[in-house]
Amino acid sequence: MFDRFVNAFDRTLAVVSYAGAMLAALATLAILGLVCTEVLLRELFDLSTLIADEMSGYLNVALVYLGLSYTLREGGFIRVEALYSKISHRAGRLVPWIIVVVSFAYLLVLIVYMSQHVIYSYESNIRSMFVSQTPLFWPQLLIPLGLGILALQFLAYALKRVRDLP
Amino acid sequence: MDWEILALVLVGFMALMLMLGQWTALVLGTVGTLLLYLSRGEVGLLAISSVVWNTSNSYILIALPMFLLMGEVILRSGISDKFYRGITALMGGLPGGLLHANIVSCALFSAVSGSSVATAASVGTVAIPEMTKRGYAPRLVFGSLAAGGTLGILIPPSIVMILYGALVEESITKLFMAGIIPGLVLSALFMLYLAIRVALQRSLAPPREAPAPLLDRLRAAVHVVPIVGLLLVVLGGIYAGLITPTEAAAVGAAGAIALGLCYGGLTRAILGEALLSSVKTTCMVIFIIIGAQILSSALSYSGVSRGISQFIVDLEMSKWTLFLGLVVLYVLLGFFVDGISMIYITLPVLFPVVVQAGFDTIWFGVVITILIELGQITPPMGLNLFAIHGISGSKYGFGEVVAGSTPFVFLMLLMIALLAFFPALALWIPSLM
Repeated sequence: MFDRFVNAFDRTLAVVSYAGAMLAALATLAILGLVCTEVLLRELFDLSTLIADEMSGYLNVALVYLGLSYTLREGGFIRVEALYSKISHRAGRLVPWIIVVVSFAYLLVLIVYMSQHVIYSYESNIRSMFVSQTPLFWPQLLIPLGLGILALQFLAYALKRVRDLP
Repeated sequence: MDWEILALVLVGFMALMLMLGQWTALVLGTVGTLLLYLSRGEVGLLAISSVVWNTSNSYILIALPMFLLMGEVILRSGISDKFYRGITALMGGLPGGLLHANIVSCALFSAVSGSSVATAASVGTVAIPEMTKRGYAPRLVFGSLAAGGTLGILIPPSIVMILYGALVEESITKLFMAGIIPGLVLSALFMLYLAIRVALQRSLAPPREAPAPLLDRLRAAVHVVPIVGLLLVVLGGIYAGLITPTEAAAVGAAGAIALGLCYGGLTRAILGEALLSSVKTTCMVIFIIIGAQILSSALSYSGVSRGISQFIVDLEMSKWTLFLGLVVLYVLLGFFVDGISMIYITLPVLFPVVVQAGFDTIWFGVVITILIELGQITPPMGLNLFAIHGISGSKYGFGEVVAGSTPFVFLMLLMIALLAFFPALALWIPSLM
């Protein structure tokens, strides 16, 4: 039962991470299109979209937070490998646990404080200073969402290790 | 808590987590969060959300995914092969010609692609079999490729400079412009070294071959034009003030996609791979920046940053002794730590010291970029060394690659000395803007 739950949980996270990465890739293309349109309009017609700077910032938020979980799954984060390979070999099984627990705790702090920030933006109706006056809680919401998925990756890792304990 | 105790906790915890293999982004953020809590309690943690939001929503950092996409498209769409052959057609007539072609093609290609490791690997894949077959000394081939690949970090557009500029709030445009002359001088130093080595010991390179017919050379050389053109559009646009570095990055990415389509190497699948790869690197780098910004705020709120600056000032070191100390520190760090982590681990603490000592922050950005280049070719963590060794085949040991690259480490140190004596090398072009 536990095994089935852990496998299903991990598979779901894999699908969510990949979907997030695809959306992040689309956000990259959208930034490209938006910024190039702004340059063309300005240089050729002396016009502006008025939203390119602002929206490309929000798209960058989407790119980063929707892509985080995929990045972790694909081994995209860097660490000091030279020391890790030697020490992790000696310290054995304890090291991954320390890493997972510390990472989870850090992400939890970020999620709690970012969620408070989003709730404050929503309740106080904080809007951007640009012409669009976008309610800021929308793009900000992506941050706890992306960090939450990333934290679940660490949880899945811990669950898999618990399952494999003798 | 006193800043001395906080600094000890900070350094101890950071060293422990790095050694245990925690990811750099999470080490920086965790240490920053811990420092905020220890110095200010829960109130300190309230700073985190603004730091996270403002860093993620930064217009300057949008340049990052755009330049990364530009590089990924260029590297994956097969432009490098034809570009390298174009450069060899132009430079093949010089003594030790293909060695110079390595430097020039790596410098130009890595400037456009933004990745020194990928450039060394990409040009090396074509160059190593060709050059060893023709009788070039393997060490010189490996060294020229590993060192040549690093030039792109310095020659703009440079991702390291964007990261430095974003962290210390310095103009990316001025940093880019400051990198041009040192990048060209360093390339010239590399080529001069190769020419002298080949002149002193003729067995290192094959005798000059009869040049190919002019028409053939021109036909091959045509493939140099698109890459140089893209570089000129990106840099020219920034220099002329027509576009910001962020816009230049997007225009460059669009240009790379157009080039890839013209060359026929850019399929939908390759574009997908390029996008996912740029997403991965962007997430990795921006998450490091977020961690570093949390740490930077924590250092400032807790008084550790001020305490360390004051401590170093109280040592009454001369400006240049401090500079020498910084160079030694970065060279040592470069043995073990990758360039991006190196910037973000050290600058939150050291940058105030650098400013207080009276160093120009643009000039220092160029120096630190060269020191990061140097870290790419020093063992055991020199990423370019791994890339070149990986494609050199089982015939050559890692030591051969290291030995070939070592003289270039000294040339980079010479470049830093030149910058110390002639700061105008970096500061002249920015002063014209």
